[in-house]
Amino acid sequence: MRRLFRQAWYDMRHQPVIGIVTVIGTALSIFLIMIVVMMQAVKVEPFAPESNRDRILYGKYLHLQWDNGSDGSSSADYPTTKQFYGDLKSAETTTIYTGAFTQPVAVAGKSPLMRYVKSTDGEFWKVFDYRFIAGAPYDTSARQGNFAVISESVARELYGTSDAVGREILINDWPFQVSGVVADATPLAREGYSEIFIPLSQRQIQPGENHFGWDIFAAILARSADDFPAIRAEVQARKQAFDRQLREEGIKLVDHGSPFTQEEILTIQGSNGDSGAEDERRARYILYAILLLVPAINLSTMTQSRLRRRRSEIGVRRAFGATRPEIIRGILAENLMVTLAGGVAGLLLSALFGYFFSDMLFGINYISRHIDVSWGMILNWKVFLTALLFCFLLNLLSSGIPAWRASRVNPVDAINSRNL
Amino acid sequence: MSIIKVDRVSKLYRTSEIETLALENVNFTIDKGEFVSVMGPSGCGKSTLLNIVGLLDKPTQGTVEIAGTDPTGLRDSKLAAFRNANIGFIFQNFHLIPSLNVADNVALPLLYRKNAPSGSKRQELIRDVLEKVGLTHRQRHYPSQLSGGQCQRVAIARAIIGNPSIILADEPTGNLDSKMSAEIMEILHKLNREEQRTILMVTHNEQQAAETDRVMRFFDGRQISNH
Repeated sequence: MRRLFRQAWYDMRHQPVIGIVTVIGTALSIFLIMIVVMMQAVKVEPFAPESNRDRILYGKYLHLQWDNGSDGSSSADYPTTKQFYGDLKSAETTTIYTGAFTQPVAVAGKSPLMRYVKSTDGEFWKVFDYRFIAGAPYDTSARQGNFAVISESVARELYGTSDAVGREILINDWPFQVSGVVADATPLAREGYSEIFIPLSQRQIQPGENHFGWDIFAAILARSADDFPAIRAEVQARKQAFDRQLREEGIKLVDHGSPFTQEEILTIQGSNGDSGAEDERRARYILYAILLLVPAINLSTMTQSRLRRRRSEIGVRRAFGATRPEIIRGILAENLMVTLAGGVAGLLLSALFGYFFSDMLFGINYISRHIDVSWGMILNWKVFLTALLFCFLLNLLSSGIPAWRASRVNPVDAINSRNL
Repeated sequence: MSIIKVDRVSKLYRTSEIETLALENVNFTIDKGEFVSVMGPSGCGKSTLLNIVGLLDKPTQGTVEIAGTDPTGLRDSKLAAFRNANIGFIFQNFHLIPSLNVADNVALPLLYRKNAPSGSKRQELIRDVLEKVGLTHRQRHYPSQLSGGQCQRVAIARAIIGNPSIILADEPTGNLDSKMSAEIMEILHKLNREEQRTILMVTHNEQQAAETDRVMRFFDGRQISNH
């Protein structure tokens, strides 16, 4: 290892322009790749309050087709959602909730603020792991209607303190009592995000017209991702029974494969199309390949140039017993030192970029809030291992062919090239 | 007992426009422990002969036997291992690796040897061979910090660390002044005399050649004398 570092450092000192261009090229390549990796990671990797992302299935979108040719798409109403996804034997629990919508919130004597409000049942707090700074979640089974959980920043805006438990808050002119204060969540937690949480209202849990409802969604918490097939089978059985019932009304149910995993829910085309997760994954792999191949071709000419100066050294190594695979391995390992140096720079650059330009990079068009990202979200062991993997790939692509060519050189010609 | 046997070896270099016969029907044997010089004008095939004996190049015709083995047909990995075990090279331009210090340059052949000593045993071996060439105090120096004579001593240490029975030296004093040349020749003679290493040396220096056991003279690829 020491020898590899020394060789890499020697090359850098003796061919500084090529060395610097190689490191910068590698850094830029890894930077671009890691930006794409991070953009995907914040969408699917678990973090609070969506720490259970890897074992949640989302029940969303319902598409009904009438025999007369008309059709309608929306979310199911509460009773239908409950019928499909509630109390599943194969799941740990299910929460039913609405989307987050801006509504006027105020306290007496202050002008109202427009803040995101989400209606949930009591199970919501088991599926999404909000950290309570004060108080506790509301219990919808015991006391319905007039309790609210607010975020720390809303508490500070309204009361000047995070200790707001028991205070009154007007939401859309309706009075609620604060039961708990939670740490602010990042809007990147697309399903669980809101600034204020209230129990589902009586109106929201009533049946809607033609089974359509108030943007009612379900999140099914599995004991582990291994239970997903069983959960899907259970939901499917329920839907088939429901479909038979609908057929009598002259309606056909199209579910597009719901419930969806975290990755699938991101690519679902509203309630009118299937999940595009496969297509998006393929597109992402193609993008990775382009981001690797284009710089690799350029970097390979740099490697070729560095190796040209070391032709006679390779000849000498061959004379003293190095086999062709040993020459290739040696060059790849030495080059990896340079690639890793560029990779570390690229990774740090992408993390800094992600942290300080999070709105630009991770912005969500339907939530107009600053996107907070923690260092843990963009710099964790998975991201690090991914960067390492891409460094290995880039190294292989950029120095594989030059190394192979170097290993094929005739030792006599190489020794006589007098460029050691 | 012969350790090198060259039998009817010819070497023809072909390009699209020209054919050059570098060696023509060369025959000789060298016994274990012999110190043999190869002399002749530039372009007479001396280095080609050394490359063929060193298994770095293949003859167009004829065979070469090293330590009783005909390496013809050996796969690259087997040939590399055979070369590593049996032959040490000394070049006119030293050919030390500039990014490695003296100790690492000397240890180069051990990198490519299976079951080579490691750790303190390797360090001990490096010290031993550097002691033979009088350079133990320069282990951590880099080639750029050494004189030409010192570089060639490192190259000799590198050639013998794997304990090969044959040393092939291509004009080992060609780039050195007379004092340093004498020192290098003294080391080579000592290795031959005390360790029974077989040495085949290409040289232009009549005096150095005269001090060896035998001189083979070449002209235009042909061996014109061997005594």
